[in-house]
Amino acid sequence: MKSVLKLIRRFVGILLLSSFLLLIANLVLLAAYTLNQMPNVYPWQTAAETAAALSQKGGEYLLSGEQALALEASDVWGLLIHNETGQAVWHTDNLPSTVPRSYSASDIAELTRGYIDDYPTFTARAETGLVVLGYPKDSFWKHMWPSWDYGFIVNLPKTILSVLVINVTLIFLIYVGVNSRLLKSVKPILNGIQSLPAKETVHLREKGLLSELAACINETSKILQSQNRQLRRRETARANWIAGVSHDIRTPLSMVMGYADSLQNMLMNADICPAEEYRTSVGCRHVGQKTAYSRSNAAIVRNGCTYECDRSLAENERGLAENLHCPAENERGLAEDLHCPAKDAHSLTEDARRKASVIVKQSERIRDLINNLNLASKLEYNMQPLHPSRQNLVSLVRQIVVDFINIDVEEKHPIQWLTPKSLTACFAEVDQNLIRRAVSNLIQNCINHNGHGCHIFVEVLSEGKECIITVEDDGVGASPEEMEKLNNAPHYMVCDENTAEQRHGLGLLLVRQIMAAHGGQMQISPGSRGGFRVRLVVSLCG
Amino acid sequence: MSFDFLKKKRILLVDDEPELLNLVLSILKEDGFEQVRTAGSLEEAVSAAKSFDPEFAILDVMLPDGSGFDLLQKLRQLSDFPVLFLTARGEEDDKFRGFGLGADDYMVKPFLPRELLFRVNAILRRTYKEENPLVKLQNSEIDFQRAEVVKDGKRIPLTAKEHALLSALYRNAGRIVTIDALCETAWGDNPFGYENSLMAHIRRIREKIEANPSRPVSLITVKGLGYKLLLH
Repeated sequence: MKSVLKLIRRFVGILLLSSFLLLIANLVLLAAYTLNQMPNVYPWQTAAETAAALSQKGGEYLLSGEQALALEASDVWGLLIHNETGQAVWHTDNLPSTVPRSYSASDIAELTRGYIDDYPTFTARAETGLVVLGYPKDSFWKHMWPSWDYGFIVNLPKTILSVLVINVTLIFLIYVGVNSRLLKSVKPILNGIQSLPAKETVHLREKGLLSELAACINETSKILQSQNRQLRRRETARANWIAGVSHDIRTPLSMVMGYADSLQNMLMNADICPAEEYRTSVGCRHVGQKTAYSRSNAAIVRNGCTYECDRSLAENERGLAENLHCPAENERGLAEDLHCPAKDAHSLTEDARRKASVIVKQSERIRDLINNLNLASKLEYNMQPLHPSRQNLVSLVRQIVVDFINIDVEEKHPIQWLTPKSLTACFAEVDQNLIRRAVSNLIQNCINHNGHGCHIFVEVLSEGKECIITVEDDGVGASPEEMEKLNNAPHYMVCDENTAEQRHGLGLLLVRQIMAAHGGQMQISPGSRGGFRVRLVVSLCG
Repeated sequence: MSFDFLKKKRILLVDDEPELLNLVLSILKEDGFEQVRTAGSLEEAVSAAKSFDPEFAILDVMLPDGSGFDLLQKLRQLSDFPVLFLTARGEEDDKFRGFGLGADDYMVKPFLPRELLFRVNAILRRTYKEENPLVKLQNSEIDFQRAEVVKDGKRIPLTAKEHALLSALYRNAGRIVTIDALCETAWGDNPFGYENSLMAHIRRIREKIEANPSRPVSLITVKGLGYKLLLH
């Protein structure tokens, strides 16, 4: 509504200014017109000039030739009324016959203010009488009758000003009155228009002056609501689709990861003491590349490793001897019956172990990808509810760091905690799980991109009204081109263009989305230690 | 200290996917768990719980004849044993519901067998204690039952806070426990501002368990992060 008041103020201002300017313009025009008219006619002056040009010679009155011509040219007649007799003692040749030749004092008073036989007359004092000039009928309008009170004339400027002010005020009130009525009908329309961008349902009464406009807004609202519903349905369907695929892929992936990890671990155990475990569990011993066995022994050869089992020893082991074929004719049967921890280990080679390890690693990548994809799609479509609460970010990030240190058995990615000792708390209103996810993603990124190991540095700082969480590594880092791409190239999750320059990898996108959901920022830059640095900026609690 | 007694605990494993049941079963067996019973549905699980009397359960959420949450409510009527949810449902709401019903942990598939074992063992360690466990350190032993430290043949009593702190460190032996987690253990839900008090308690504990408290070998400081208890 502020904009409406501003609009009215502006219109009223323009109206008043234009009224004032119009008045000034009219006055100027009037003055110009009047001045333009003045040089043409000076009847009183002409009368005075005629009186001056009239001379008496031997009882006869004579008008100078020049003045006589001037009067004739203007079709003006003239006469001289003698002061004493009241008789017309001189007149021009063109004096109409209807004009009297004798005048009383009252006639003179009458003709001075008005007309003689509808001829407008103008007078001037001559030496012996009164010169009267008669102009053609309808050539002048004489306005000699009205008279005004002196006080009225004195107060005229004030009166004019007051009238002007009253007029302007009246115009203003009329304008405001008319506008208020208009505004009353416009107000719901404006409210409706303002509600449209807020995606609210708008239903206006389709009555009155602006009923057509109201109907259009109602229709627009219906269309927008319908589009929003469709969009929402589509987004929900997409998010559900992603969530569904993520869900359905988890159980099969569990089995892939689980069995691959088991294989990898079995092989690792086998590396430690396969022969020893084999021997002690069922009475076998590792004999290396030996290929010849006595008849009293059972043997198994797998992938270059040979195990020799003493039949008598094996008999003591849960009756396994019955199942032993000596020498081993059926390797598989023997291996299964022996229940030897190393049996599976030796059914695979070092190459297979490497492959099992790759399967585990890649499965972990798929797991992380589906986890990130699920959350990223929900954040993108505003389907992830935020549960903010007051959290000490120092404690939160410290716990994340410790969790990573505790699982990094090989210590390939040692994490250094750089938060100043004096900073024990940094409270912010955040969703604990989402911030945990963001920081974990950043640390995991350092690990993923530096497979050969690197140092990771984590710091929490309080600067002004902001808390800054920095995760940095001294690993491979990113080239300026990659940095540019990370900052500017659209991610495929949010890209609506058919471009080949889309960015992949969901980790950083998710972190950026989480920060955006908290009204914070994510800043990517080259690290001071040659690696990659990401800063998360969150507002502190007030 | 040995946790072998935990391997004898009866574990109920519930999932509608037979392949996954086999996988988890083999993971548990290989880790030494001897008594594991499996069930593929809610009904089977309830029946197994009655006959098997489990001491720990791993439950899936989506079962053919009901949800894991319903199952947990039914199991709770029988006994109060610890439960871990192992499910493909990773939504926050599902996790909150699981924990709200009294689950001890919630794991989202896919998972690494090692992580599952870590969690299972951690829950069992927290829940079941040996009758009189003596925890051996480099220069002393801790008797949690009596709240004492045995050093050089002498018995040194532990205060309640020292006992609580050592218990928390022992439950996570070999792993870092954050300053915040230790403060929370000793001073409750609002542990902010107790860092210096914690340091004082740690110093006193070291005086009791270490040969040279100035050069600790069992209770290690991890700068800025927390402390770690190393067992002998």
